[in-house]
Amino acid sequence: MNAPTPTPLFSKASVRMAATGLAVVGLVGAALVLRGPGTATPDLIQAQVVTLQDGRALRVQIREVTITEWQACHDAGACELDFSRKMKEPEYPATGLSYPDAMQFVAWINTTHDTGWRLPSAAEWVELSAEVMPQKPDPIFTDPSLTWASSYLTEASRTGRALRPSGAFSTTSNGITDLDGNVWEWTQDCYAGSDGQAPIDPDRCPAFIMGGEHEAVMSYLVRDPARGGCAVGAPPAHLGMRLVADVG
Amino acid sequence: MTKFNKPGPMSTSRRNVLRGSLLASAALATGAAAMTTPRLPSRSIADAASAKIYKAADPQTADSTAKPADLSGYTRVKQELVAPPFAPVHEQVATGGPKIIEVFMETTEKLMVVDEDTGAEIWALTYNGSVPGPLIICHQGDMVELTLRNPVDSQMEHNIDFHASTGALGGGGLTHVYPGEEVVLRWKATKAGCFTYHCAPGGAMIPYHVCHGMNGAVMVLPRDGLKDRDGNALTYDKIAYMGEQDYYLPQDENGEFKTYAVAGDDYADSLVAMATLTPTHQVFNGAVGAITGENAMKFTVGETVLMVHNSCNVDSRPHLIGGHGDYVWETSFDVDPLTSVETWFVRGGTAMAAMYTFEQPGVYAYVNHNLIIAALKGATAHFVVEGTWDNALMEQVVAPREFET
Repeated sequence: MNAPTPTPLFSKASVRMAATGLAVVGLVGAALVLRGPGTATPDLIQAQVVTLQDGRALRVQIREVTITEWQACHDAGACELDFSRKMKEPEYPATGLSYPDAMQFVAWINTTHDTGWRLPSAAEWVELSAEVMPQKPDPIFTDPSLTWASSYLTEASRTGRALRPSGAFSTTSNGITDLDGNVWEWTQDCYAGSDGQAPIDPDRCPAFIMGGEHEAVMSYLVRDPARGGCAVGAPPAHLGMRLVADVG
Repeated sequence: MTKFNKPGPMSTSRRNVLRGSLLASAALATGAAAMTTPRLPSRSIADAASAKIYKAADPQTADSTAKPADLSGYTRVKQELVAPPFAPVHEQVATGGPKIIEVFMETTEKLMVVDEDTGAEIWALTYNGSVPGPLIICHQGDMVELTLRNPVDSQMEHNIDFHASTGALGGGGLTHVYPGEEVVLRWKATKAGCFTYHCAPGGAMIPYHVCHGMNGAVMVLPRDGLKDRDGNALTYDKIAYMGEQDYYLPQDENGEFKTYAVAGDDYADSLVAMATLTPTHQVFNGAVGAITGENAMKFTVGETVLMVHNSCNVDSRPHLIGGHGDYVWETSFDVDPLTSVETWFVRGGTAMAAMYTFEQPGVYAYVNHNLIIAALKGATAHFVVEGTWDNALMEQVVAPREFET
């Protein structure tokens, strides 16, 4: 038997963190180059500084990027998607975002802010969300031959799939909201294949790890992970993003 | 899967309103004035279509020349209908003589969520509150006796056309019921096979009702059960009853799905949306994900499933990803089943059956293999199968690994 054992994706992701660390630096560097004079309001991104277990301080956006925040990027000509018809009260998270969409926003925000915003790594996301995440259900198949089907979810989602306003889900002790909601957030970590070995250039990455209620890997071009077809399991309901920045 | 949000009975002169909506526009003014909620102003298309509607029977002025049916030799039994994807308790091989199978259906109008992700919803028109309506099972030579009841708080009239039946527009001409009315129809199952049934009030109301979920299936089994081409008995352990439903939900100028206060308020908008012939959703059992995830059907290796697929309006070509159709009856049970089928065909306006015995555990996807419809419009169901993996059938010989360059 050569089939891999059914290891949860996120534990692999944390192993791969070291491998993708260099790429992370590269991303932030690129963002720094793009930084320029600000046009948006300085407090567009509301964030909270969180100290991670390894001692690093991370500035974390309290909400997922909202429709209004996204639209500021669109109005500046830097983000392709136009959500002007989705503007409403109360504020909702911006959804329907692919990885390239998310990177448009990251690039734009760093032209207007000095903070050095980026997407979180998968490990950072897992640590930030740990206290509000539900218990992971047991895999429905444990036979190694059925690893391909073992993450299929036969339990009802707690959150449902209907979008809710920003802040409607849990808030962590650090004041970060909606990590356990039904919007999955792009991380900067490329899913490096089932062996987890090959470091992949983020610019050539076919699929990224998503932060969300259950583990998910999403092809970089997907905006709406429609349910159905050959895909097995319950895909994320919605795709959005949240910014983080290294402090100091 | 569904959300129930039904207003109470509307205080109105019900019959006048319904006549108004069904007859010429002259009558409409009275009806509209009697409504407590505003109706959409532009109804010219609807009225034109409704003018050609089939009329319910006139009052009888003479005795019928038809002979009374001879019901001697029949045994009356009740069949408790259940919601899809399940099937009522039934015999695969008939025992005893022919039966009169009594079933009860209520024409329930209810607000259902079609896709949680977008919040798209519809005032579904249903039989017994489900899309599709419940599966009725009988044997060739049996009679089905349906009591069809339209609840007092309904907005619309309803009826039923059984493709399995003979005469009176499939019973449609004899079963028009207004809110607060019930009707009893008895028909004989002369043909063996799976057949669709649907509401058919007349004119444009027919696709309107069908595309709001008002359809389902009857399975008429041969008295001695299903057989292969050599006459060997074929039996199944479970039925997976799936209705493929095309929805045409009206959208506003921003592309958001519109919402309506009561059933029927979307009529004029729906006609425009339906005329595009492009469904906004095409799903199994009423909603995206109705048979996936926590709603996936469960089987074990060695079990045989009979997949009964109803598609009242659109053609479909189902494929069981990771499995096959061991035996497929696309038309009737009179003909030998197709065997070892990869993808089979559901003619729009029919129900059909395919049989498969699971040989591997895991997850199977039952899809419309127009994969655009499966993935983007929603026509996907999942079967989760327990059991022991058979490496002789399939084995991952080498897990993904880097190769030398």
